[in-house]
Amino acid sequence: MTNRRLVPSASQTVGALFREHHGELVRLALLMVGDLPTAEDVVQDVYASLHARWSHSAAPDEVRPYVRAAVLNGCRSVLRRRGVARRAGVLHSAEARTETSSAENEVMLSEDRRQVLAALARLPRRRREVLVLRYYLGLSEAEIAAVLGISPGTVKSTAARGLAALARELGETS
Amino acid sequence: MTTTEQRLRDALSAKAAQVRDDRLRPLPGSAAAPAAPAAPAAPGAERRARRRQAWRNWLIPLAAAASVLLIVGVGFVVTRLPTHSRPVTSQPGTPSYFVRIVGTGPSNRIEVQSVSTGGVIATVRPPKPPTGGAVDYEALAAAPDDRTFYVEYEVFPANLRVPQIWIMSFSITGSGSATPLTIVKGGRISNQPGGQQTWGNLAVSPDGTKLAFTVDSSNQVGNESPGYSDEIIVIDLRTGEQEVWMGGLYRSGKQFSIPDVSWTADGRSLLFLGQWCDAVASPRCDGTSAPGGYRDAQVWSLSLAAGGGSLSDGQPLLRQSARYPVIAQALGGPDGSDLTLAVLSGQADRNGLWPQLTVEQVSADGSARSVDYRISRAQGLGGSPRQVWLTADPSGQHLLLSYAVDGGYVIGWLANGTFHRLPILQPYLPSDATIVIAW
Repeated sequence: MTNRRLVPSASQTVGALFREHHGELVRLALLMVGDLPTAEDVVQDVYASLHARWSHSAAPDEVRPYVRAAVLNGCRSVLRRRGVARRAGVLHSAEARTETSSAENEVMLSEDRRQVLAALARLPRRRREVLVLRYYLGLSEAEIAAVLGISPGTVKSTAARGLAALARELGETS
Repeated sequence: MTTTEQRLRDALSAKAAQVRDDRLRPLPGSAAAPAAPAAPAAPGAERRARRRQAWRNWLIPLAAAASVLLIVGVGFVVTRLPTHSRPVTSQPGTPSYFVRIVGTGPSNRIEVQSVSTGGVIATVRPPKPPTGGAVDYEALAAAPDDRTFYVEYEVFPANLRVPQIWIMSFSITGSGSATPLTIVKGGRISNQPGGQQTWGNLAVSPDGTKLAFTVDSSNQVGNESPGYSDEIIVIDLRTGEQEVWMGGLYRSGKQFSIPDVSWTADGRSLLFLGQWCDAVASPRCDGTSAPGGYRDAQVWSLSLAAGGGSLSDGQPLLRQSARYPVIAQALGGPDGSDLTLAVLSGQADRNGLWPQLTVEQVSADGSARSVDYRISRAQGLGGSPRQVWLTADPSGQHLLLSYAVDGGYVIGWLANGTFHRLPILQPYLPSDATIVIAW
């Protein structure tokens, strides 16, 4: 018989997972949204949402894909906001500031890396997400499928198309 | 591993290395954070408190600055608006209300405003998202009764397994308040993650019994434009039955999307604008009107008699041409046979901005009937196709037009060649507002 008191609550699990993987989650968000302050905001907001409202017991292995997915959701909202702002011909002042800050950080990157990241940013959302999960986090196709809620086959085809598009954009033949 | 993979991995690692664990903003309850409370406070609370305090410190100087900016801004706006736009005055037959989405992300809301006075009649908050999920808006539409409105939301559950589109409605009561949002029959659509790169569209049939809207058909592996609204769904609001129209118009290497969908006057067909753009170079179809960029657009008619099928079952009515260089938006014309187009023309500059926008009535064979409105770059026009929105009220008689000018958007309606600005206090939308509107 399991002593339920020995099983950490899901809230505790979420909190521990966030603290253990805080850096990884912020890096994931950074690669999606492009600037650090926004990435940290996304992770904090997701943490607040999950910590306050999570009510199911779950093992860390079950929570991790969920948390990554929630961070990606937060990134999607940010990117959509920016899309709206750009579409309206305006950019929120805070976002303009973070973009400036981001631009300063980009100086630290080589021209080649900047080109690659710029090309990546122009890919459709799902391709971008699949490539980041695969080539930054090193997730397997099955793990990416679990995070994005798609089949492993779709992960494979999406990654292949994303790489091909990236290669074309970068002027490569591979 | 290919060269592309190596370069990608290297670039991602370098970018990620900008994050230093020792400099991260601490999460509540962590060792680096201030004394953790017994019950952890929401991590955003402290940040919000700091913001509130900072806000208080800046309140007085901000108020003074805002007063100055207001005075200067009003003067600026008055002098920069298109010279032939006129202050709004409602006319018989025009809708009583217009609705727009204000704010972004979780703070977005719908504001219902009076066409004649500009006063905010009601505010409608978005539906509550699933735990860890998110809700974003896609589109708005008005029903013929002048009181009911439909909203297309995109709902992301936290696990992303079943992204959904929710079609919801609300009405304005006789006392001027808004009823709660409810999902319409058949309005919960699974596995339709909406258009990330292009926005959705929503149109109510002239008799108010059906809704047509666009979604992203990204489950159509191998025959899709992922991230783009490239599929049309029609819902019968009485029964919840759905018709799906997708596929058939994809071109290799191009992103296909549907920037506009509307009903013909008899309610038996849809008109939609199909758009093809470079897949990689311009994934948002932003700069594809620039010299050298690829953008094709065609207006199609789609009979709904078959109850669903391929988009290519329809008939192309009008193609982008030298006469109509950039068809930015297309609607069914008020008499049921003509088209109403928003067309950008002239010579695009290197940024892909076109110097002239016209709204014109065009016959299905492409011959021009009349030009309802014209504005040029000299009058402040922004000139990008993605910055032009044209929609009509359910009668098809009254056009609602918005377009970018220097610094933002103006919104208004057209009558007898005159652009009547809607009575929004800020002629230029505030930076956190969107251009999702209907009436």
